Amino acid sequence: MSWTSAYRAALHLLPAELRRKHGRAMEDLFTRELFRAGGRGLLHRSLAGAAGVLDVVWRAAYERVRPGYDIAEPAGASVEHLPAPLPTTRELLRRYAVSFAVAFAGLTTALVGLFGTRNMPALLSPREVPAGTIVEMLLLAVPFTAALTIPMAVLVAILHQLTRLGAEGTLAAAERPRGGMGRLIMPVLAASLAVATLELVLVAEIVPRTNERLVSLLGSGAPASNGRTMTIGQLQAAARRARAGVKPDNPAGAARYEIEIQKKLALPAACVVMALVGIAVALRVRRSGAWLVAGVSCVVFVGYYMIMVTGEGLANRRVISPVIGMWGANVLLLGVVLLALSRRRAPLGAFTLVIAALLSPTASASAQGTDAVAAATRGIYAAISSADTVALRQLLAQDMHWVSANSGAVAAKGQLLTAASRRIPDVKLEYQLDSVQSWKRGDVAGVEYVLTNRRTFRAYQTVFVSRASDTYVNEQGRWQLLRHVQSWIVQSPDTTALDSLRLAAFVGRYDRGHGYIDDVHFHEGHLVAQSTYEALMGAPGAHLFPVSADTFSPERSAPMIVFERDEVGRVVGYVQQQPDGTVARAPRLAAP
Amino acid sequence: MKTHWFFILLSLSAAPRYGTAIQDDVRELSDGSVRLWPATLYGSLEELVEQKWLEEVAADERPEGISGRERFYRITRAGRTALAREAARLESLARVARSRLALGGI
Repeated sequence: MSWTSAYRAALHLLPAELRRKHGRAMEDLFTRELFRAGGRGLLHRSLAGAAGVLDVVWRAAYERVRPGYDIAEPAGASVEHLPAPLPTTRELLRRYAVSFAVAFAGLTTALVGLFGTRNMPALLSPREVPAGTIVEMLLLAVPFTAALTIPMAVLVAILHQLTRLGAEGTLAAAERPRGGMGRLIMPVLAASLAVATLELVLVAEIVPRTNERLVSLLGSGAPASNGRTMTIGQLQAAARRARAGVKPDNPAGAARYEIEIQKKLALPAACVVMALVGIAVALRVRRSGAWLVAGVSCVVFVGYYMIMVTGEGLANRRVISPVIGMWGANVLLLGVVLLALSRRRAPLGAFTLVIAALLSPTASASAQGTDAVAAATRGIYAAISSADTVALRQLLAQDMHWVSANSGAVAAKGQLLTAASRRIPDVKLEYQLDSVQSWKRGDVAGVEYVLTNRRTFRAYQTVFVSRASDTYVNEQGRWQLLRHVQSWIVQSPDTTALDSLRLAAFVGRYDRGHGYIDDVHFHEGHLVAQSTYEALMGAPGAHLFPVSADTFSPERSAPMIVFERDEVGRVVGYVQQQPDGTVARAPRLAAP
Repeated sequence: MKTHWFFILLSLSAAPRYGTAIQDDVRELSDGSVRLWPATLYGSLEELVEQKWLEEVAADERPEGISGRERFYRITRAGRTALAREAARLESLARVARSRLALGGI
């Protein structure tokens, strides 16, 4: 892999907005730096390449903790019941991988740097050591350092991602649908298991070999044969030999090898334990932030390694067995995790959480698409009501069309974002979704729901109820709204009562033109309007419900009819708005 | 104020510049002691824009003859004030250091 490719890959650690805006310029500038350094030799080029990549890693970590990185939590009364959408598994794993990579790179760099500063004087004092040897020594320090920093990075990554979801209300929202919590936890737990497997390979096979070379570099000659330079197979053989020839004055010989064997198994297991610690903290503490992650991580790391070092010391002195000495930290931490989870107020117990997440991945997966699009729909209205265009932008497809219910006008993504970005003083928007039903066919999904929109100006409230249908497409693992169509649900008007004498004033024939007549008459005690069309069809006509002294609602659903009077109060005709927008004016015909 | 912020503001106090030109100018201003790597440079530019100490120059206001995709930045009035304040602080610090050194007979 060339330095340019490594740099391009590292750029993905940066926040998307910074990468989108400056990624290309950074790459160009890095290439220029490489070219300049290349003129002074391969070592300078390598150093420039490494410095450039480290600069990105450092900046990525900094960008995630500096003030202003986190998008402000949406404000507004309606946000509480409209949580952020559940991220997809792919999105969740991507975020976890980024957090893990940043934490791992940062911690490993720091510890290797510490190792370098501690060993460099001893290495340099007796003899002139070539630069290549120093670089090799630092590189050889990476594997054994990584064996320690991988479990740490697992904890940091899970804490970072899950506490953010907790603070956004996504964890609380995930508890409601069946399998929702498993959908969030299962992927990070599975990823942590995969990391644990890699850690096992690292500590069992790679670290002993690199340690052997490192010992020979740091020492004066042949490598000293100790447990840390031996693979598990070699350790087992050595333990057997030590047990067979154990001397009374050196009873700890076999124990030393057994301790190393157990340590090589306990460290990978720590990855899973750390993941469970992160999950437990996120479920109990519904807050987020760099200080929370740093504080919890420090406490857990220090506690874990103190217990492990103490256990190793006691096992070395044969006070406790190597198994207890090396696994004590994992068991104690696991006990704390289970206790913490079992005391949660939520109905989810520790065993339910872990076992359900491990055993029922299919139940979670089947609900994934439909839950995700329903959550995305709620997220869209939460973003609109709080003018959070950053969140809204992510939920809309590039070629989205939003069909307005009252006018049928079509708004594109940019127009909707512009409209949503305007906060109107004294106006509060609330959206309530009912009868939500979702479906999914491959990468297309839809949500249908009844939407109640309450627009409150100071204390005056207007309520609009509509039925909406949204179509989503899956774009790179993220559900995005492609089409929104909405139609008003027309509510029947409040009616009033008019006595028959008043109603009789409206009886007559009204000419709508071209011989099309509306015959208003009494039928079974009600005022009824029968048009020529209805008479020809043999239909009875529409019952006119009075709304005010001169206004009637045909069947309490059709457009209202407003009767007009002359200066002496005699009814002379009516007007009615047609569905096509035209206003029909029907003068009253003189009685025959 | 962070050292690289100071040098970026110092560079832009003379004229609007884009990323690569800022990097070269800062290297020259600091006699090579401050090297702005790309992520630090562009991340800092974004932070300084957020602070309202810098602003991006609109495409139609760019210097003549420049029509590429480079983003130009210029210092704002608030940025100049911050730079002047930091320069005064450094100057005062240097004065104190010089007087202490003089007292010490060096």
